Amino acid sequence: MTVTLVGILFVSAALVATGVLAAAWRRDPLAALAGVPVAAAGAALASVGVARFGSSLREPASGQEAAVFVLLAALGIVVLGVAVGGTRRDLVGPAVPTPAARGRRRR
Amino acid sequence: MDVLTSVLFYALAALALIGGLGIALLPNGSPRALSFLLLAVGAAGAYAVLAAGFVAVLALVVLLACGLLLAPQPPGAEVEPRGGLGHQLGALAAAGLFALLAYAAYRAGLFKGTYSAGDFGFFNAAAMGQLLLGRDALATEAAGALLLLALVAGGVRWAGWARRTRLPR
Repeated sequence: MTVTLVGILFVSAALVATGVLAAAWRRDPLAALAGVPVAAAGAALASVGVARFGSSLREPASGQEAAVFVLLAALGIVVLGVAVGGTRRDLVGPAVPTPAARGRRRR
Repeated sequence: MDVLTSVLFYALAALALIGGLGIALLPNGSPRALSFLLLAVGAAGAYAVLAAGFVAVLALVVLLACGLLLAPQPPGAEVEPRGGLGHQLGALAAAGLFALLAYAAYRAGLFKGTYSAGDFGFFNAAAMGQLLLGRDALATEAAGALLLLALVAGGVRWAGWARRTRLPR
């Protein structure tokens, strides 16, 4: 058993799909935002795998550089999303009405 | 790669996948924080096994920061209601995406490169600096601008929250 680029791409595909699952499954937008770093970790793994197994002499670390950009973009999106989404939640309440809130509205 | 390194890589990848599934499915609070920790350790370890020390350290910092931001239970939050039909279709679409990506990885023609980034050092900070600050400086500045904007927005939100909590009711 040895690690190949195909194996790394399999793992990264699973991580990206798990991130998409988190974004699709959660109803709360702030909870769904957690899919972004998971998918980014998968995309970064694919880039690092290419840098490890498929790079050329010209720029062997380009894949690692792409992974750095993906991870930084994910961090920026999460911080921005928490800032905007959290402020909205503070001002107008949760985006998804909880069962207790629905009961209050009915009364 | 030798067998021991390969086993280590797949164990760390399994750890990261378990963490990712926990993030997707577990409720907010301690279970989700533990899932973020698993994802951070697994992903950073996998990068380190692939001789990308710089990316491993960055991933550890980024994923732990995301966990600190996203895992805590917001005050007054209750149990999240179950997803409807649209969410179930979204989950099926995620499974379809995995099948598509796995098929592409299996069937694609991949050439083995002559050189590996790991041949030039584990941390390879000099090469990363040359790429980030030299060849792709504009992209680095764009990423820095995004982070600055995010930090300003976060600071504004924190300042508003601090002001509201100190105002007399």
